[in-house]
Amino acid sequence: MDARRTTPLIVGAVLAILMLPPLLMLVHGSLVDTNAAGAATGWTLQHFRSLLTAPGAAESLRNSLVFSAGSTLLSLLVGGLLAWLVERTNAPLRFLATLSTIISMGTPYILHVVAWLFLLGPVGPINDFWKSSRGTGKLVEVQSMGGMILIEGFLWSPLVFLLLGATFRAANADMEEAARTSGASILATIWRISLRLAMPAILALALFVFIRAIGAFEVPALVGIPARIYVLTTTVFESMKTMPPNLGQASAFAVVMVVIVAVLLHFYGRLSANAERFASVTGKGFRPRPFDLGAWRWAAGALIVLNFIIVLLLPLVALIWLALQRFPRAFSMAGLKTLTLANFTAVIEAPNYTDLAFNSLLVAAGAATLIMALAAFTGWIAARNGPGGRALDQLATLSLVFPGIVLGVAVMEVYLRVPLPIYGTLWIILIAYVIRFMPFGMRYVYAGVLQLHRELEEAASVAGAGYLTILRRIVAPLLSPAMVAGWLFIFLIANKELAIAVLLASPGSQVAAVAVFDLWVNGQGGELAAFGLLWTVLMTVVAVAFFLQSRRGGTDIWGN
Amino acid sequence: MLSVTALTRVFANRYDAVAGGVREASFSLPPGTFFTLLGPSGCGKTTTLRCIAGLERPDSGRITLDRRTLFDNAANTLVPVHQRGIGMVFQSYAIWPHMTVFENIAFPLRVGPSMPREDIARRVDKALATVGLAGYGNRPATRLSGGQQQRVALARAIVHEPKLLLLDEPLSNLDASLREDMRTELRRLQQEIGVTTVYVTHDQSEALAMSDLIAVMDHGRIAQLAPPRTIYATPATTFVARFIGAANLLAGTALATTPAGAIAPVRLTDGTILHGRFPTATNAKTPVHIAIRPENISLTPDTSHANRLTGTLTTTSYLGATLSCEIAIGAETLRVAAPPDFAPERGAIMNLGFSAEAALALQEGEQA
Repeated sequence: MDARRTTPLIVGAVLAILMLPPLLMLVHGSLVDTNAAGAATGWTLQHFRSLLTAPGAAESLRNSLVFSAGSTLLSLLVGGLLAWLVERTNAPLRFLATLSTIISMGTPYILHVVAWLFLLGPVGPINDFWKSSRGTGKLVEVQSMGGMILIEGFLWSPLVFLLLGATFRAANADMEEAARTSGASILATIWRISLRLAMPAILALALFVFIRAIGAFEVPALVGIPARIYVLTTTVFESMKTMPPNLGQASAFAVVMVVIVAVLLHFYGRLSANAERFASVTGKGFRPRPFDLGAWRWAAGALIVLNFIIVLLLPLVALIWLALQRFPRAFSMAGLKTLTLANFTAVIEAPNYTDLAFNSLLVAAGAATLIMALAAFTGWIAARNGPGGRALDQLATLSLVFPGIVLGVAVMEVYLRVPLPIYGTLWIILIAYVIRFMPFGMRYVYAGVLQLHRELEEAASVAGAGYLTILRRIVAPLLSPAMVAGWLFIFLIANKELAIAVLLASPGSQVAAVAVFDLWVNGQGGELAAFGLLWTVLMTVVAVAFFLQSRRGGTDIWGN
Repeated sequence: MLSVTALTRVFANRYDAVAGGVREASFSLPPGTFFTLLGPSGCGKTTTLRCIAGLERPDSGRITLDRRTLFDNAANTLVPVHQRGIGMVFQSYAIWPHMTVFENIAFPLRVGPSMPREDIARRVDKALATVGLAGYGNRPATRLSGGQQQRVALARAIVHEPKLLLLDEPLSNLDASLREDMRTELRRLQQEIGVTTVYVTHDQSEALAMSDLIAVMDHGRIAQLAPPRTIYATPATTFVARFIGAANLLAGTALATTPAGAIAPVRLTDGTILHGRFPTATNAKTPVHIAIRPENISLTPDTSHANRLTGTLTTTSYLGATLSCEIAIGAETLRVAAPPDFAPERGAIMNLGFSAEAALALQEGEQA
């Protein structure tokens, strides 16, 4: 058989088996009527009808939109300003921004959320200070829509910083200097040239963050649920957690979310294609030249420090404080006397924490390996427009339409029905991770292949190498920097993932993010903080490796 | 013997009506020929080369190499690229950065029929010596200069002794002085190993210097297929004359129906009558151009010159070996190569003459 034809077929079959059943099951689950024992009895539109009549449904949709829009704006403002200062100006202390980004890459979102809940909560330093000076009341009510937006916005700002940073770094300084030599001031140049050039990229990124915020689970669960502020994800979660789980209604909600996300993704695709047309870098060996801010550079430096304090230092200090106290209490001199290492000892000595850490690392590493192996074929075929390339690309990136919680529901429905003994084991989490993070692996390989000069493969072909030999001897070795970066990235985000795991994990198959969630629900703040800190240290090491690798992979453009 | 018959590969272009690619190209090359596809960018020369290599699937036509059919639309034959047994040097050289120089060159032998280790080493060393890089085998491929990369690419293309060598603008990424050296080197090497070579370039001086046979391409069609001397001395169409270099072209119409090879009068747009040789049979009233090279125009006309003109000197540029003079004659400007010591005044009235033999009456090539 001709490998050129069979390979795409085999890869396509594997992808189809992974990607299609969750979507089909979800639709099926939302349309099927079940009796008390859970057996299907017929088709119905009742689950969708119940969405219209259910008391909280319209409100959770509205909350989702407000929450996502608000946090998108905040993260763009904070992350965007920071990215511009770091990449395009001579502001001092720029390394602090990169440092906070690296560390927050490795930290599970849920830890950030816990830290912020403490900082802004009733015993947190802000309300504590307010209370001690006024005698009564609270300055901030963190468990509110405002609190949710604030925390989510800061949660996403490092990602915005990272992605917009790349855009600003790639901006051709000639365009700005052409404006300056035409007589434009710095501000006018930024407003009329820099921002306009970056605008398509900013809009695309805004939509991207909005989509992720629609699917966000951590903040709505920890901050919203206690205040009875429900968004779509937490509504799905609640209807799954009732006894017996209301699968029909959860599926109907999930289908609504998938439709919303799919529509948004469609526009995202068009926006980002537009952004690429605006990319102003063409040649190689190109260096952006930063703006000289003059006296303003120290103000800019102060902003960078402030961001560092808010995004990294304060949450870190809060976690350390929590970890060193038996019971959560406000920052105080008196609190210094009750410092204890008991939480750390508990975490290190209890065997379940080591098991848990091991489970997490194992599943994340397994998922990253499987994804990159599969993506190597898919990404190459898609990037080179091989036979079936477009179809493979769409299949591999199909899971982008699933918010984490929705994918959790869908995968659960699929593997409850499949006669394989994987429900309730780590395998089901592994499969869900592979489905969820496949698009990211795909992007890494795809971008990597586009950087390879096509003639490198054609030369091998002319020299007599067949299809699979080219992949093995030429493409795979040259892609290895991109593959390693992609592996580390997936390993990192898989270890942060809560929304999927929270539905699929069972007592015998816990992973770290879920354990942190359970500790929070059980009110074990001290052990949570201690475990979280140790976990963050471990993940930061991986995150540093990822950054070094990306930087390497990014500067090596092969074949030119 | 490479034989290409009615090769067609057309690319649709969504943005404007002009479509790229190659149409109905035919040629056949005796063994050992250095054959050049010459033309401006977008003329279809690289597409032709890629069809021969098997990197592009032709729409129709036939390609055979030594009686082996590589592509035949009628018989639905298509030999995949890696089974064609050819050597190719790419414009970017395509040196694999994750291999040493030795491994780059050994690659065609390693993926081909299995061969003892010593034979591989021997043949790689021989190829390295042939391109003048003996002893470079252990270098990482990333640590080579442009010229060295080019030699490695060439060694890789000849190491398995292919029957056909394809070169896709291999000199275009080198700086000017290196390009001159490599041009001679490449020609010497090709004659030494005697491999049939198809060379793609847009540089007419490269093509003239290196080739046994040149195909000048225009809009996907071969405008002229001839040895370098013929191409230079008697371009077949206005396009070829313009592309091959600095000829003066004066627009006019043929006065009478003229057989190929005859000398006949042409009326220029301003009414002047000039005599030129018609390389192709031409009907009366057909638009033609009189093509005359600057070095064939005399500033001291005598009775041997069938064509005499008078004009005004507008500009001179000193080129070392000659003085290039631009002389306005009515609405047209003629470039004339004068001896370098000639020092005329700007605005001087000049008398020009050239023979009917040196003036070619050319038709526009057929347009796609």
